[in-house]
Amino acid sequence: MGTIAEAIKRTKAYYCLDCGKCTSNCPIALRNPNYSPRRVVGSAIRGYGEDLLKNNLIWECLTCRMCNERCPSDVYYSEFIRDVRIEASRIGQEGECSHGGAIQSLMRIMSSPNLRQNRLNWISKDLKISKQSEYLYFVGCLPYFDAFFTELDLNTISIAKSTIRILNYLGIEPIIMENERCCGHDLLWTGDVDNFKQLAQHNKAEIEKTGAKKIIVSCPEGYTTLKVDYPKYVGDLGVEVIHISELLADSLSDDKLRFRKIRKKVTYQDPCRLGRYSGIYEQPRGVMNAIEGLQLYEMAKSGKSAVCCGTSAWTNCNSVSKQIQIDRLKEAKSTGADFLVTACPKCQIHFKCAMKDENTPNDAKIKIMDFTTLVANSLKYSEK
Amino acid sequence: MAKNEHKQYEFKPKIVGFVCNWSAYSMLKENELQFAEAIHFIRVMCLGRITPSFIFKAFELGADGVLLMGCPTGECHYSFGNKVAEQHINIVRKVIHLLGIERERLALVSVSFEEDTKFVNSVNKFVRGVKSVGPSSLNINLDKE
Repeated sequence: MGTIAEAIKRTKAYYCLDCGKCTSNCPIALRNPNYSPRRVVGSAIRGYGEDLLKNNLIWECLTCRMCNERCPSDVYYSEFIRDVRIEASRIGQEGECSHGGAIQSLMRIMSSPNLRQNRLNWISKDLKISKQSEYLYFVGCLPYFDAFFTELDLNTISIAKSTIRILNYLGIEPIIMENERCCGHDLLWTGDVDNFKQLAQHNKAEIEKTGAKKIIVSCPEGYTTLKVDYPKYVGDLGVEVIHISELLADSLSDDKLRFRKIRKKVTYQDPCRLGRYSGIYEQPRGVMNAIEGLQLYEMAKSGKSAVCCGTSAWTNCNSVSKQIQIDRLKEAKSTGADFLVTACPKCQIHFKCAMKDENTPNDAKIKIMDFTTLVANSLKYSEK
Repeated sequence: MAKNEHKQYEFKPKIVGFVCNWSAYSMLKENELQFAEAIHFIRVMCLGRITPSFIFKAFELGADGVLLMGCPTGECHYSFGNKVAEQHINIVRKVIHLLGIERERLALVSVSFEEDTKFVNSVNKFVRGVKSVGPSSLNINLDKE
């Protein structure tokens, strides 16, 4: 998508006032003094953009948009980094991929058109799905996470099951695509725009084949990718993209949800892609507050100021990421909650991985639960 | 048209073989073993080094089969490397099943230093397995391009 100069224009980086609010808020810069979003933007504006391409620092960014939130000139720093990464990967640069690049390989394997996946084995008989419906459920990478991260006891597939249970509760029997691929979010954010486009085109064609009008997504990254990035790169999907929490919030205001009593103290981690990228803060909170007996404690940094889970797009997971995760877990624990509720499977993976480290202090150990699973388990099914 | 032309060629599978320096590689070197098909051998100091990413990368780049050859249980030079390799390959097996890549395309063969006939037989058996499932679906894509 063009050169650094275009990236500066597109992301309004030329508005930078050099005030440094981005750096003072950046979770990475707080822990790694070599990194500074202000300096990265500054050097690009001063014409040293080409040097940036070979600089390791561009792969450090979490693209969590915390800087964006604070920037008085509204510079889209995360998008700027993304565009720079796209340019950098064109000249063969890449970040340090976590897990040896296994997940990047997986995504590239998925961009192959002839692949025939066996990804639907988890759908049990109690889950009702259909071949023709107004609604389509985009599952995303959930089956793959469980197979790949065996040591973390994830059970992320329960998120997919819970989503279908919730949809069934609301009288919806969604279509599930047998040949759905990864949404490509992480390839796009690590600069591999060509393979991203292939995945996007494939998914677009599959979605059009189903004839669905609304897509339900349970993963925040899938949600923003389908909603914002697909139209930009492969054209309008012609469908409405809805996050499960939006659907739940709407059903709640229509008085369609009945919950059983649950005695739990929880705190909520806003995923970057759901919060700062999509502005969905109140919907999940509203639903959790409606569950009788569930007490929601807020962390000091929540909502727009929520700290990222420490890594994104499977790149540059290092000691800084671990520090961010431990600090965030401590913050969650200090609220007095028993459970940390996450709405993104990746937040769950990253936090669970951080807690697996034997050096993790006890005040950073907290049970983790997924938002969708929590809601599905709290619904009163018998009265329906 | 294009498909028929494709069929006229004999299928020569592209097979990547990761070989442990202490067992399989030494045997390859000393006995000049011959196999049914040419295999791209990659020598590693221990199969424990082969994380899932290497195997995925091989498939991504168009391998029809990936074979890991190392020491049997209890004979690892570093005492735990082959156990690690087994854990890793189990993860990969699950993931490639989801991807729809046939299980014949991946195997772990353990060989002691002196079992050269067994070694050749198990490699040939693997090659036959790969031939029976044909070219990798990821590969067909590369040929078209």
